[in-house]
Amino acid sequence: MEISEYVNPEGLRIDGRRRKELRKIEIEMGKLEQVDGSALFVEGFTRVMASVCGPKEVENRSKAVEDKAFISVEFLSATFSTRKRTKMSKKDRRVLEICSIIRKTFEPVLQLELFPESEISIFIQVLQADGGVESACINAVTLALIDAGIPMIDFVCSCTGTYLDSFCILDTNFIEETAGGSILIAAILAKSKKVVSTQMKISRLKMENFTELLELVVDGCSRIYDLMEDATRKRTKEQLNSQTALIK
Amino acid sequence: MINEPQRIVTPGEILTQESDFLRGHGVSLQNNQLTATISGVVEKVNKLVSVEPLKSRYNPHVGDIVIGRINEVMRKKWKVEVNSTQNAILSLSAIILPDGIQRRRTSTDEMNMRNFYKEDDLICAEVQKIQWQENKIFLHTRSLKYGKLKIRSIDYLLLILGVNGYCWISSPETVPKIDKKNTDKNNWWVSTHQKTDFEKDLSTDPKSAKLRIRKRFIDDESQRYKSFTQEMREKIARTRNSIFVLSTLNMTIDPIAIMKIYSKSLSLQLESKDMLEPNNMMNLIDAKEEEKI
Repeated sequence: MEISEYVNPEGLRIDGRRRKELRKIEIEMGKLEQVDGSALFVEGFTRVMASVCGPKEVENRSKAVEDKAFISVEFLSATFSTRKRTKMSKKDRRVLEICSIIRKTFEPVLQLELFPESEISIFIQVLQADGGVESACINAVTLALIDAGIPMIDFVCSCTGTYLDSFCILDTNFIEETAGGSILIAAILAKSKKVVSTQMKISRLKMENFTELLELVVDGCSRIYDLMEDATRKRTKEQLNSQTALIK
Repeated sequence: MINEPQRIVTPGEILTQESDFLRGHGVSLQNNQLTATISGVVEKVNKLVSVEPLKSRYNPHVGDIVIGRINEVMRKKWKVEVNSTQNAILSLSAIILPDGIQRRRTSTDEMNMRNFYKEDDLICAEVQKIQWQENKIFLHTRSLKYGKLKIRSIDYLLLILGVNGYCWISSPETVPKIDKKNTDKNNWWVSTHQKTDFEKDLSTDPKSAKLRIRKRFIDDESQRYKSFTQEMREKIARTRNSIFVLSTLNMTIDPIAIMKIYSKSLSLQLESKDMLEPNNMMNLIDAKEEEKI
């Protein structure tokens, strides 16, 4: 299918959103029993499940760090998650890349020095991929870490944006992501608004457009933060209520 | 702001603007402001502020009774998995030897470590010492209350709720035989179960006595599952499911709560296998709330 315009003259995108509109976000925390923390992050048709085990004893002794915890990341993309049924191997370049992004994003945010010689393992499972997968992964991991009760200095929120047809577009879906524009993925610390990681794909962008795009994405991140914070608070309240329900 | 009862915070939230507070667990200093690092409830003791998480790994304290699984047999020590951030250490010198004698651990003991506890054995132990800097937990089983958890059969239940979140349900064999006049509680097991035999044998042939005790120690495993009545299994299953109901619904697990769920399930005439169905689970809890009112 040939798409002539990604934003029509009325300012609507192909899925009917406006330029700066996010997709519908749903968050579920603590659904898995066997892990310490888990979260499901749904953004439109993108659906990512993250789970966290730990801090626990390191499995591979040689990887232990003397004075802080070590983060291991495993990324799996379900074969049915994309339009083409392809199986990604564990050593695929894209898999390794996303693992290292996640590790580098969370290393400065988590208080790892509290758990010397331990391991925090993060598992990410992509159930549906429809654009913005990396961002959804980072958001899901943040929520799973919070659910596991692992101390972190701030929320990490991430969002994707693209510069397409001389428009800056927020929260891309699959069609927009593969359209050939410059894609920017940014993760920020919600409270201090510090950018922890950025990633550019297919980049040939004027400086002023880049600044505009970054501002847009950072704005998107803080809007996602509000939703994530809300969900966390609600979940904590639920836990507290049920815990104290039987205490007389 | 800080005095509000049960204030819920999320990571990154500023706890207080005042600077004269001390920071406890779950609090960090960012730009000279105390901020929460976990999502939970703020607790304040005098000038110490901390955030208590509602779900986390086991945070050990000296004197806690825990249930653990032997993970690894090492030189002169065992590594025990206790649901904490690190595996706990149970050293060979911190256990009671099966002959019940206080003595130095010899190399023979070291060779026999698997006879005391082997991999995947469940044990009950007490936290003896914690080294915060290296994040190490040391356990001991120097009382006969602690030690290996074995499957035994008699007509009432033994329930151990480990502080680390693991529970053990079984039926004790030797507990009813406690001699109440015997004031030394720690030694009841020796006095009722072993000492007599041991002394008798010792008078005739010390060597065979030693052998016999070691043999009994090993034989215990093969006695598993023998003479386990249907009724007993049913009781254990019901208790397990009562605990499971409480844990699924994030409720505080204590003996009173377990007993209430247990008796409620009996009065609702639920079979223990049906207790975990969502509807029945809610019935069990609802009934409790009514009782409370």
